[in-house]
Amino acid sequence: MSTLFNDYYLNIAVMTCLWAALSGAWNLMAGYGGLVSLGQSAFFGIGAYMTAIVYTKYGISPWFGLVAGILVTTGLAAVISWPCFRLRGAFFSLATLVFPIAMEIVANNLNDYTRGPSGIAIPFRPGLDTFIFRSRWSYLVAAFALMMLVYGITRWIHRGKLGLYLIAVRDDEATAASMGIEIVSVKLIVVMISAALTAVGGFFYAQYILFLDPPSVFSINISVQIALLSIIGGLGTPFGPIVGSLVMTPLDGVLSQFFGGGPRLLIYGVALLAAVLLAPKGIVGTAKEWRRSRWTC
Amino acid sequence: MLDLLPQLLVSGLLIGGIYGLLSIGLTLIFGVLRIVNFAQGEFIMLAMFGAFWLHALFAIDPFVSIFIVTPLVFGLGLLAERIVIKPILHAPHAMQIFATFGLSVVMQNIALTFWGPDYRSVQTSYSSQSFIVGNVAISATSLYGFIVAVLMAGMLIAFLQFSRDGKALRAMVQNRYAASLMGVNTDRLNRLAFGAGVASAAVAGCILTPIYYTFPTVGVDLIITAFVVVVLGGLGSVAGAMAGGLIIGITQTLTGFYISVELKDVIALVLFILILLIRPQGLFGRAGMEEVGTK
Repeated sequence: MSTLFNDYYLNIAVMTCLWAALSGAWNLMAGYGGLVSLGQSAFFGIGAYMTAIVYTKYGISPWFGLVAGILVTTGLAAVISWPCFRLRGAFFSLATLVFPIAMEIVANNLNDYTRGPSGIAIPFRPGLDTFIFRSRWSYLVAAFALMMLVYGITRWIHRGKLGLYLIAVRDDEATAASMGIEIVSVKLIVVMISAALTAVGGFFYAQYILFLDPPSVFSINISVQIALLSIIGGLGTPFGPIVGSLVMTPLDGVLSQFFGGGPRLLIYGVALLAAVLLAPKGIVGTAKEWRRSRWTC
Repeated sequence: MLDLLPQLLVSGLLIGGIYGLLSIGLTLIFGVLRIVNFAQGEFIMLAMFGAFWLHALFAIDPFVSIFIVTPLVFGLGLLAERIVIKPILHAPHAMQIFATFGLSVVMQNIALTFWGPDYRSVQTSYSSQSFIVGNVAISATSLYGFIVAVLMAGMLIAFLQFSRDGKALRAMVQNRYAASLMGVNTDRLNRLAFGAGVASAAVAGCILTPIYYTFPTVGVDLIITAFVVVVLGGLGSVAGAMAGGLIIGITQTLTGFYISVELKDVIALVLFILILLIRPQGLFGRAGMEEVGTK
């Protein structure tokens, strides 16, 4: 009983770290670069599927799937987002919305590789080479490391030139270009970093949950959830996604324990609306502002 | 195979008219408020449930329900504009997108909580009826739906073209700032545009009830089609949305029959991306709209 109890809380902790990492990867694009993508679940799903296919179909260690997933998603991210850069604001978001929908159709029909709608179950063979562990503590360590990796990269970008370039491009593209910033390459770099980190999240998800089907990884809800955490925590801050996930993921766990799908998502939607309308700078941004106003008074 | 072509063209045209009406509201709201309303599909869904319940409880025909449901949805639109849209009119894109997205999640799950996930359908006395012209069979519900859709679109275009408010709305589509300098009450017209936008979605919802299934996430399926149609026709152009609807309706019917049913949805998505890349302003949109679009 006590281990079950423990596992329940450990699972929430693991998911908190994983969501914080995924949201952090999105925050790089959307928060810094102003590229509000609604298609992150395409990268997440490809990362997860590459891992699972390499492992279950060819029997090779999923680590190779991870490498393949990263290569494919960064390549795909470059190819599909480069033409989309011509589009601004909501048009960019509309275009990105299409990719997870298209990927879900592909995954549903590519039966030989993805087993279509019935999904892939990953056999439980614990070991470091398969990245499957008996204890959830190991997963927690790995998820925490992934979250810190994303945090570290965000902080590094935030403090470095790339971050300044991104913010300049986000705030005024024409001015940024006239200052000599290579707009397209700056955007490409951040999209590729974001896609690669999201694919790592997909790899982790596959080897942790051990089951994949098209809607569970390509659903638009995943893209929305990823964005929601950053928005609630604070868009364009390194710490925002982590704070957002620390607040929302355990709340989601509790809600799903007490309510079914409808009321739970209803509360989720209200949280999203409230965050956007009442605290558009997120928890981190609002706290900063509050502290600043106290100091100046 | 080819002798079925007239039949397919007619079916595609009929469904395309309804697609057009679905998209008109979206395009009007975008043109005037510069906001992509991700919750548009949920207003359609609510209207469908409205028509469904009016039929189930009081045996009111869905085409009659239009006159009851549309004013209600119009009122709901005014309320939503007040609470959600007005505060974010000048917010960054991310906030605008996720505010309307949040609204859509809330509305979807209100429906899910109260009415459950079941697929419901409305059977009318003329549901299985069809007219035969030559060797083309025309389903009665689709034909009536198409007629109402075209009428509604015509009324909206006439309103925008000839009435004082309509002219003011068109001025706002061209340049919001200049319109407000000319004495246009932009606050009131924002409300009017949003209300009218969701009301035309409500008409589309009522028409769809006897043709399609009613369930809480029906809006998600519909809004993707509406996005494709609107981008094809040019965001902000009402006539463009109608033309885009007809083109998508026919394309989907033809690919669904001649190539494969799975490809039917993919072809719309492919078209969507191609248009965004090749001609982002759409067939009838003004060039540069996609760039100034959200300013």
